[in-house]
Amino acid sequence: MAIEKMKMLNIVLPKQDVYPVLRQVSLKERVEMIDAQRAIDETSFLLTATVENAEVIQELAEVGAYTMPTDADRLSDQLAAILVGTNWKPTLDVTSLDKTYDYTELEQQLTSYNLRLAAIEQERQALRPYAILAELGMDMPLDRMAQMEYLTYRVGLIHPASYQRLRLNAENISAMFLRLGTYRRQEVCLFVYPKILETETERILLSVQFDEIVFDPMFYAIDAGTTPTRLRALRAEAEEISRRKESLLDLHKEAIDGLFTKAKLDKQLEEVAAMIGQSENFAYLSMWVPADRVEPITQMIRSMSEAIIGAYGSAEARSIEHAPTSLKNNRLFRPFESLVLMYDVPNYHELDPTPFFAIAYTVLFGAMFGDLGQGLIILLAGLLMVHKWQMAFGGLLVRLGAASMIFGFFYDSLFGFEHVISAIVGWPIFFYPFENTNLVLIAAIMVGLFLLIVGYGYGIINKYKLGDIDGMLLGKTGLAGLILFLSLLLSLLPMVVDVSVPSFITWPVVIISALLIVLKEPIGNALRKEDRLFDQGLGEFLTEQLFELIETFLSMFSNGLSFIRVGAFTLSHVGLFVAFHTLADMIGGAQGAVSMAIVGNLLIIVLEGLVVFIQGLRLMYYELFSKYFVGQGRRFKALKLEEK
Amino acid sequence: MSLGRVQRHAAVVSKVQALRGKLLKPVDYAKALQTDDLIGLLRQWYPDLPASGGIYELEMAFMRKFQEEIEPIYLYYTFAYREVLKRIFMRFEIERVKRALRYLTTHDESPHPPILLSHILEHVDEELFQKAETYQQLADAMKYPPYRKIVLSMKAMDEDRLFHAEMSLDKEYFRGLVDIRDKLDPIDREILLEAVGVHVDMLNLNWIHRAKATFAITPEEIFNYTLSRGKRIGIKQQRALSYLSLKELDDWIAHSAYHTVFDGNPLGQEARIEGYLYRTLRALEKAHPMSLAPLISYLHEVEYQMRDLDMIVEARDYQVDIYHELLGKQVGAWR
Repeated sequence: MAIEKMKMLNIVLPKQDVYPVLRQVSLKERVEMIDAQRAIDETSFLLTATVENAEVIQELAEVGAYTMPTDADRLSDQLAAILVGTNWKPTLDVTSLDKTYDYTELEQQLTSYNLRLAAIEQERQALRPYAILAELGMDMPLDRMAQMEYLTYRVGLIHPASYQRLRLNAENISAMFLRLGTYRRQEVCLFVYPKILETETERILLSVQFDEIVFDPMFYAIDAGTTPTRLRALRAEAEEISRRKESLLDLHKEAIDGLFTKAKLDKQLEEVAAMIGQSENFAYLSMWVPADRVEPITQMIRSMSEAIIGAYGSAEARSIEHAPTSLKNNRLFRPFESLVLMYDVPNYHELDPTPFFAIAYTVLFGAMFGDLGQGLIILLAGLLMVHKWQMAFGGLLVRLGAASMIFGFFYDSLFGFEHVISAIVGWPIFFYPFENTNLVLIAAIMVGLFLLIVGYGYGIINKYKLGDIDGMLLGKTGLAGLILFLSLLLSLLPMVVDVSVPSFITWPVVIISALLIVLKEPIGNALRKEDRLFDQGLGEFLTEQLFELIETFLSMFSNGLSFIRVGAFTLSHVGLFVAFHTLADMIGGAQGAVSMAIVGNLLIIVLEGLVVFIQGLRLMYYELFSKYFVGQGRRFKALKLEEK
Repeated sequence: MSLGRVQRHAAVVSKVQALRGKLLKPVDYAKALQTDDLIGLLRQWYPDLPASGGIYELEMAFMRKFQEEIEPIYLYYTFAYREVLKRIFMRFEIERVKRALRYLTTHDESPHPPILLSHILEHVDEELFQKAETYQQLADAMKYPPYRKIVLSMKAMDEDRLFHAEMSLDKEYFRGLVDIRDKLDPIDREILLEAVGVHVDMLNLNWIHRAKATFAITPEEIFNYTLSRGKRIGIKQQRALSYLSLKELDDWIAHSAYHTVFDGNPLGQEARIEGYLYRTLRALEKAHPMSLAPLISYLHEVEYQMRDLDMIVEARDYQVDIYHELLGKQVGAWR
């Protein structure tokens, strides 16, 4: 439950070993490639200097771009030839990578199918013009018409507007023409004209955007009326062949998946090659790997090649690039990572906010949307999404649904009906929000204040981890901020509960901590013995700090009060059901009660569920993350095979 | 005025008014024609323009700028009105296809015309278009079958008939526009047909005159190439005009409603056609402020302004004084 520790591995190995090593590493481990060429160009490629490394280090001066000798193009072409004309989708299967397959028989069978399909398509194309004639109920003696000595003919499509022009000007046209009918909103026309007037007629036809229907002489003698039947038969045959092709592909699935996987892997390695440097004898690779995998990866590479490997921590590697962030959480918290990442990628050096986020968000959601029945529906929907459609979001719904069920149980609410659960269970353990409105609202604020205090704690630790000592001690979200927040709470406590906190203790603390926050910059500069106390002028500093201080007080007040919405939503959830019950009474009878119960529950699950989901996120992002989340990290992108 | 129409057009009309405010004024044109630092001046108006660049880069920049402004309007409409907008946007596309055909037909030294195509239409493959050096390559860039057919018909011809492609493309544009009319509400239908009608009349007169004066083609061909749905010049009148001699045609025009546009002086004729259309559209806009009219009118203004800017930049590059002087009479004259 943390941000995974990363190490930078710099590897130098004989050039011919790159392909097998990288192939093995990318299949078995999680690594992110770093542009080694850039690092070498900027002379920041880390390598421990030893006598054994002398030759390698010497060659670093002449490193150029590496080209990966792979079979990617050949394999892709072979795969494309196999799958041509089908919708068959291969899948990745890494188990097939070490096997060899003979594709000769498959390819021969496919070629014979494809040849027949091409012949069918050719015949269909040739018959289509005849089918148009058949559709119009026409049959023309095309063989005899082709033998005319002085006349010639053309058949084709014309836009109705252009046909209208021809008709209007028929006496001036150098051809006789006859409208045969309408096909796809165009007029089908036959033009007959003397061969000596061919040029003039061609120009006329061009001017009406004549779209000629060309008849294949091979079928001149065919009875046009029979073409639809022949076309149907050809289509059926083509479909049958396509089915047989698909069956054949299914039969050879393992071999085709193997080809697909090899092609994908080689393509991926080719792309990665751009990040590898090479000299005369060596290749230079650099990658981020999880710290706990450094040893196994090193051993794996050394078992395959005489490689020189150096592992470096994020601090050493920082001159090249910052370490990527990989969140590592247990199964319970993992679905919440997507919500954290939706805000921003956490910084590599900060605390993983996911566990706190997961607990706080689940509790808030459950409190706002507490209902045993509706929670069950959300949970079931989540399970369906996870198991049927493999949607990661489903995992989130499962957890939120469970929280809703737990709170719903104690709220004694089942699909909006209260007192059903208590009637079955019988213990006096239930809490009815609508009967305790003040308590609900106060409890919501209390929970919020507790979460904010935890948030301050996270903020202080994060600042320490990032080396921001000024911020940790004197920042408004640091220790001084926390003290200010707590002392303000203590001074306001008597307004809520019957306790007395001496104001001569709390107010001086408020003033001192506020002053520390205001003077953070000059104090920090003085302690570091900087040349000047203020980064800008004194006037500018004071104005800025005044507004900052006002904003700090306001945000402390608004952040805490913002959590009142949790109580408000708890109440509105019950209130909505009261509204639906009233509607059901107005309709009357069992029909009204049942229909309103279904409609009400559906609306509440979908609409209120969404609103509560968003409001919960809002609280987490704006009230809490603003206290401690550093962000601006970069996600760890493991080199892995992908189908797309 | 029905609430439905107000609801449909209110957002677009407001957007158009806001965008119209950014168009150049006559005084801006005067400044542009006189300045020694044209790029500096243009960059005052359009800060994103490249600091230095030839016609090509600047044309691209103008196109990109206007496209970025115009295309989002598409999202303001729904259903049939989106279709209308697509058809209207085709005008920009067709003009660029025409330019590419002109480039291929004349084989002159001019650079390959730039293009920035609408992402809403996706009728043309931009990359293939930019590289096309033959009709076949240009046809391969056309994803919209009617365009492809027209370009291929040029390839099949044994003589250069650029006008064939130009008129066929115009036909495709106006047919598409008119075909959608029944899906519009009655007022918008009337506006669309009025705008198309006036435009078609002027294009037809221009075509018949040009064909008689310049091309060796028969009256039958001239008539067949004319566009349908003219406002004042119907199909029978088009036929009659196609058979007139040039002198008779000039006499007929002199007594027609369009005599101010076709006054016999070829210089500035295009600007006069645009001016007439612009005034027609503005009158429609005034009569129907909550309709398609403001948008159609604005899109024409954008088209003219883009062309004006290209002309000004071209004049700067060629540094021809006389051309500059003539240019002054055309730039912005449509207002």
